Amino acid sequence: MAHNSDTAEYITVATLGNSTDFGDLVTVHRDHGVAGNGVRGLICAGLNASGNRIKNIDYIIIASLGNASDFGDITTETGQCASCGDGTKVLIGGGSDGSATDTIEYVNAASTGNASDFGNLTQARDYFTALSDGTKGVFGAGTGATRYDIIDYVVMASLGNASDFGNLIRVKSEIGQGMSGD
Amino acid sequence: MATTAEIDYITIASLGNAADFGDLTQSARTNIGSLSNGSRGVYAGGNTAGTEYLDIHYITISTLGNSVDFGDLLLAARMTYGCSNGTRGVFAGGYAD
Repeated sequence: MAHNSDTAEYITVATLGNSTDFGDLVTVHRDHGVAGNGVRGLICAGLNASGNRIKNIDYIIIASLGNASDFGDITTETGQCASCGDGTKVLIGGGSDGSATDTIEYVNAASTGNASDFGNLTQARDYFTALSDGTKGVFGAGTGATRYDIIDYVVMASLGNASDFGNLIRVKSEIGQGMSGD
Repeated sequence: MATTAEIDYITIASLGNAADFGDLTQSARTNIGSLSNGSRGVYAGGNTAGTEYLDIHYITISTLGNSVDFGDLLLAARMTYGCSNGTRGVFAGGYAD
């Protein structure tokens, strides 16, 4: 039986063990993006329980168990997007609004409100990944006109378009979520 | 297109191609969620065709190598994407067939 999750669960990263219930999201999010600023976690866009694209952003306070609250919206209902954060901004990039997009939008994670235009990816794509070291936001892999091994990046502090970073070991899609040690 | 267990890494400060970090030891899968506290990277869930997983694994980011068992999610799911405040990691949303 299909299960669409409107829930959040948590672990203590330094301690091995099973996850525990954190609270409920405002709505189901799947094929979505998640990123944060170290205080808040933002759950961005994706698909709802009916499989329809959504544009709403929920947020949680990571240190406090409880349900998510409404943050705002990205501009267009978008699934299969990717998100990363630098401690101030959270970027929501790419995804599909019916076809693969190259748009990158951002919100200021400490406030609430709708997303604004940041710039564009080097290649429109969905089913890809994003991560940040606090300076760069890096996007990798994905599917658009074809499947890609491309990695591109933006400078988080400066609005603008993405630039070429390099390539993955191989072409990948539905790669899951990236992470950074920084 | 084959599902892989590969973990790639980049040095974010230096432009260049990705290199091999190690493998997910639980199995090859797609749509896996992850988060980090800066030293430990944690992977959760994911799927292959028709099967979702609930296992959580981790890597030590500074040390190349394969992932190690951490624990389990409450439910098997793909797209349980994560974020962290450095102490607590939260996986939110997702889907299972």
